[in-house]
Amino acid sequence: MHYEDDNEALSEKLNINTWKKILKVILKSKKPLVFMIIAVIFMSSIDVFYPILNRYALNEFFVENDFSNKYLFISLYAAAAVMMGLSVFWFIRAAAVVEESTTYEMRKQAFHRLQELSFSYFDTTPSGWVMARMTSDARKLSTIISWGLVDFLWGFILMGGILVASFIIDYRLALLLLAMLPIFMVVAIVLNRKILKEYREVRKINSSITASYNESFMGANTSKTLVLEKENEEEFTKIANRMRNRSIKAAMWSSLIWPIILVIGYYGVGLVSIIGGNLVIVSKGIFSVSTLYLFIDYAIRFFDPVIQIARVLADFQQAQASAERVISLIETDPDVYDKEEVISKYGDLLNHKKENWEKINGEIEFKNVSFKYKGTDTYVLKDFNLKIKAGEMVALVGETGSGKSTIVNLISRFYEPTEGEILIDGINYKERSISWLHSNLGYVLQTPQLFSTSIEENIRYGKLDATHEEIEKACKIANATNFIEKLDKGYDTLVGEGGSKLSVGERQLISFARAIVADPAILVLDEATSSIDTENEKVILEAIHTILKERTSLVVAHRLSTIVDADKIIVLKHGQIIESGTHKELLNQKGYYFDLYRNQFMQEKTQKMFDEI
Amino acid sequence: MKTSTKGYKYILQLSLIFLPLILIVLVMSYLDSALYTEVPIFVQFIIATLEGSSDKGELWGFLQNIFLKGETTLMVVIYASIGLMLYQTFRGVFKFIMGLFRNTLSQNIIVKMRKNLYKHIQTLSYSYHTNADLGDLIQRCTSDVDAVQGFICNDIPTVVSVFAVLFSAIFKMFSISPNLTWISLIILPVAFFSSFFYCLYVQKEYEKVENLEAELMTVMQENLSGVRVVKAFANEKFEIDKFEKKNKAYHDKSLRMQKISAVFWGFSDFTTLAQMALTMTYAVILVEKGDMSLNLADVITLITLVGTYIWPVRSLGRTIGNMGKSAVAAGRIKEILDLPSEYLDNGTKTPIITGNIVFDDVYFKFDDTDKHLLKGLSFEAKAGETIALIGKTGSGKSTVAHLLARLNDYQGGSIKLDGVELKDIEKEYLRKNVGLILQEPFLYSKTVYENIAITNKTVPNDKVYEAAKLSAIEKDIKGFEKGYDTIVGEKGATLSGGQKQRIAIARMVLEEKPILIFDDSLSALDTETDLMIRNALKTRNKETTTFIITHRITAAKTADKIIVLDNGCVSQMGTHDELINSPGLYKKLWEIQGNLELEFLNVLNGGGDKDALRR
Repeated sequence: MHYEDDNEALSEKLNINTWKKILKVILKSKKPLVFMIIAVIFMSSIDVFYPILNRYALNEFFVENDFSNKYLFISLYAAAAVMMGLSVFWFIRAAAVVEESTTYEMRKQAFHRLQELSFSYFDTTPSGWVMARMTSDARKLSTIISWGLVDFLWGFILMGGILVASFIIDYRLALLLLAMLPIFMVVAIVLNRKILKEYREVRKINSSITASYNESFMGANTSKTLVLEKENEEEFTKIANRMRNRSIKAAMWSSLIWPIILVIGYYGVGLVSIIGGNLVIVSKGIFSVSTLYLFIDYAIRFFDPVIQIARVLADFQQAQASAERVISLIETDPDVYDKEEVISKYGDLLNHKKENWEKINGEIEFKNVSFKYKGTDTYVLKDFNLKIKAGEMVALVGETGSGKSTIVNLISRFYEPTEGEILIDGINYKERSISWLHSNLGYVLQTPQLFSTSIEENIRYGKLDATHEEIEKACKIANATNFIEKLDKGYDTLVGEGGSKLSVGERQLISFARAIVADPAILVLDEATSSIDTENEKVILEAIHTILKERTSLVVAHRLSTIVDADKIIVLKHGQIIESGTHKELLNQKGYYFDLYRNQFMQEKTQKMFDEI
Repeated sequence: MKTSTKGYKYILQLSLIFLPLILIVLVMSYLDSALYTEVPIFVQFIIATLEGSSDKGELWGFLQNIFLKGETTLMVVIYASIGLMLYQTFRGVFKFIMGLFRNTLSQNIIVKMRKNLYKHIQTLSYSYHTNADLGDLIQRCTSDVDAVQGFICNDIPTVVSVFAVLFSAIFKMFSISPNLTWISLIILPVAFFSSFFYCLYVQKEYEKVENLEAELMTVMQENLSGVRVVKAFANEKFEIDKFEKKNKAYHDKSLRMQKISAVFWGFSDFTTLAQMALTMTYAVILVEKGDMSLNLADVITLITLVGTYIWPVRSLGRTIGNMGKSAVAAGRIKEILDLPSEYLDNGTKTPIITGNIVFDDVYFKFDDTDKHLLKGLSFEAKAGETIALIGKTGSGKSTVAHLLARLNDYQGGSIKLDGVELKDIEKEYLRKNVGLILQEPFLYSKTVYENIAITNKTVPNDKVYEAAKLSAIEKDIKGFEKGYDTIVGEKGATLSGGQKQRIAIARMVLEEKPILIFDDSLSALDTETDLMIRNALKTRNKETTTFIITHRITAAKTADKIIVLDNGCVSQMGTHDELINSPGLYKKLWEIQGNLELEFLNVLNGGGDKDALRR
């Protein structure tokens, strides 16, 4: 899927399936929908009606000079005004309800589905794409549907009303109006299509302009050192000029619509006044001048609804594109999911049947596991075997691409083996639910992910019903208590978006506390100290030391100082185990691990000690 | 000065540049709207003709004369109707041309602002860019530019149009019936003020709604970026509940705002029709009382004229609200344009540079502090020498590099390049001769080849390959799927830190320069590769003065001269052998390294303190 262009893609033909599904969502707000339609019918009827009222007044009071019904007239007009106000009020309220409910419902369903999707989806789908579906597409869709429906109905009824009223009053002029209709529609629809296409191109160039700004500003200092300012400027000028020319072209098409419709419309008006005028003369007043005025008024007001309808049809094309994208999100199936039998015993993702969950010891075994990512041909792991005893600390070492992260992903069941099995406590983990595994798993990543709530809330994420004491205890073990107590609001301090108000080291300590409070049987530390400065590293290493006691742990480490205590160190290369043993055993082998360790040791130490002089 | 005041000034400045086009657009807007009110007058003429009245209404005399040339009433009506059709055809063409002018004006204003901003922002100082808020800057270049364009090309013409319609319509209405006109103006203040206050209210409320949506999106974004955490802790249900709360909050607030707008629009449409009713009623009363000056045509025309201005006046409220916002946007743009360019303080000389550098008692501090970073720094470097700068974090090493490239300027002392004072040398010329490779390599969203050749697009291929070879990146590139055509940068392939650094080096060494500075830009490479690259460069040109700023003694060892920076000035200077034999920082460092080697061997041999490794 081309995520870049996808935002602007337009489908050419009508996709009934998509609309059926969207309709289901919309129909959840049946009542307001009905109100909306009724209100619009009223509103357009008044729009058709009050010119007739005018005609009546003109005839009665200004021609016949018969003022007997003047109070009736005034009250009718007043009633029409009030009714108009009320119908507009009602229809906007109702349309708003439909719009907001539809947006709400679509976002709810999409989010729900996202929670069920497996990791491969998030690895391959840019988060920006997902966000765009949830924000602009969901809103665009609801807006176009509710207001588009309203505009369409209004236009349709107004047009229809005018035609019906005209036919009742005088069929000849009515036919004339009817004849104008197809010409309007064709012109409006054709022009709208062209305009949409042109503006799509304009938007594409607009994105390149924004991207160009982004890049230039980020690389401004580099450009200074390379003396690239003039070239950058020339390149930018080219894009800016291109955009200007394209926009002028697109706007030219836009400027065509109204003038053309105006001219065609008034040609109709002219014809009406000629034919109508003739009728007035010939019928010697039976076809009254006020009637002629009515028709002229109708003719003038006839083309506005036509333009609206054409515009709505064009909008619906856009809406269909948005709808397709949102639906594709809602209908994506997860790769990693529990079987029926497993769900009935253990519950699904949202409803855990904790009564049936066995206690976990923490013994992990990889049995002849092979794995490749979906859509690729190369196996990252082939016939991989590994046994981890309960309570053991196993370290994984190797370069990028050696398979470390894959192993972590497989153990965490973010991905499942392509071949082979992974056993937990001797049973294939597919026989037990995903949530069962995750509740017994603690996870600390390289870059700490925090939510924009308080420190306490973030830690509580590991165990939703944790008491404050449990949280304090976890912080103590993670050595986070020190810095927390120094803060003004302590545990209630808000950490900012992504934890931005804290330093990276502090965020990581909180991640540890979170993992500790979950009290997991299996703990995964995925390069958890790579982004820590030396100051905090010592603190964290002690914490790790404490919390790894009596838990099965898998530590992926770039900084070898973290893993010297491991019960077993596994050295990976291209998905195979090339060395394994304790730290001392491996050093004595004087192989790959030895080299790695020595280089790191010297580098890290030198830097650290130098700064400490 | 308030942002909006700055904004109005900027808008004025811009308008003066485009004055001719703006005047054309404004005049056309005025005419278009004034001509619009003539349409009901045509109808008035036709109706009056059919009525048989002698007073055919307000239509221009010369037109009336033409139409009245028809022999029968029908002929007159036909002439008038054709006249109307031609009139509207003329107006249609006029509208189209006006649209063309307006669009041209709008796009030209946009391009001018964009180019100015881009050009100016590039010239802002190094310090500015290091601290700049990227998102904010981009908003100024995009949405703020849009808003300013809207002010000049939409809002002002709209105001002109509305007044044009109002004046022409009211003028015509007065000539029909002053009394009726007064009655028909009642709606004006009502429509204008209600829409004005409503728009103010909406703007405030809308901000709140936008904030709620932003909160919803934050939850969404955090859920996406933290998906590992969510799943690892099995908190899917918790997330759904969290999202639900925000989703509902947004829904409720947005709906509430819309319901209030329903009240406004309902009221607005009610008043429109009520005004019609009022006018009609008063007309009826007048005629009943025996006012003969009002005939059918008159009344019809009057009502139609009322219709012409009611809707435009409503939009005026919104337009005025917009203008306020756009003025603020303009102010924001002006703020950036007012920031000083770094080239305001520039030298003029372009001397031949061979690489002899003299720092004499140089003082430097950043603008936002009082403490000097460099306090009397003095040293010399001869052409062709390799100088290593060693010092603790924060000792000012990078600053020396930045000063040499004039990314920052020194406040005291003197720096001379081949006898010429640095501040007198033209900045761009200087930077072409001083190849500074920054610590954090930034790659452009282009191919590897284009990145390396970025300073000279027309350079022959071999030079690019040679640069890649010199920088020890050639093998890596050949290992990429698309080789030199691999796209890197933000949207491209992820390269390791070391690979990025080597590409940054390659692009800088594409062409020979008399001075090269590696600002810790070899840190991600191992010592071997580091030395390899530098030796290759030395072989290519013995005369290049090379500075390496580094932490690593092993890298500094081979330099012709090592300068140890401590506390803002030179604490030691000499060759490696000289320095390890004199008391000081360098010697200590060397000893540490030696000790570490011993320690390591100890560990290997099974003994040794395990904790020492972790300390």
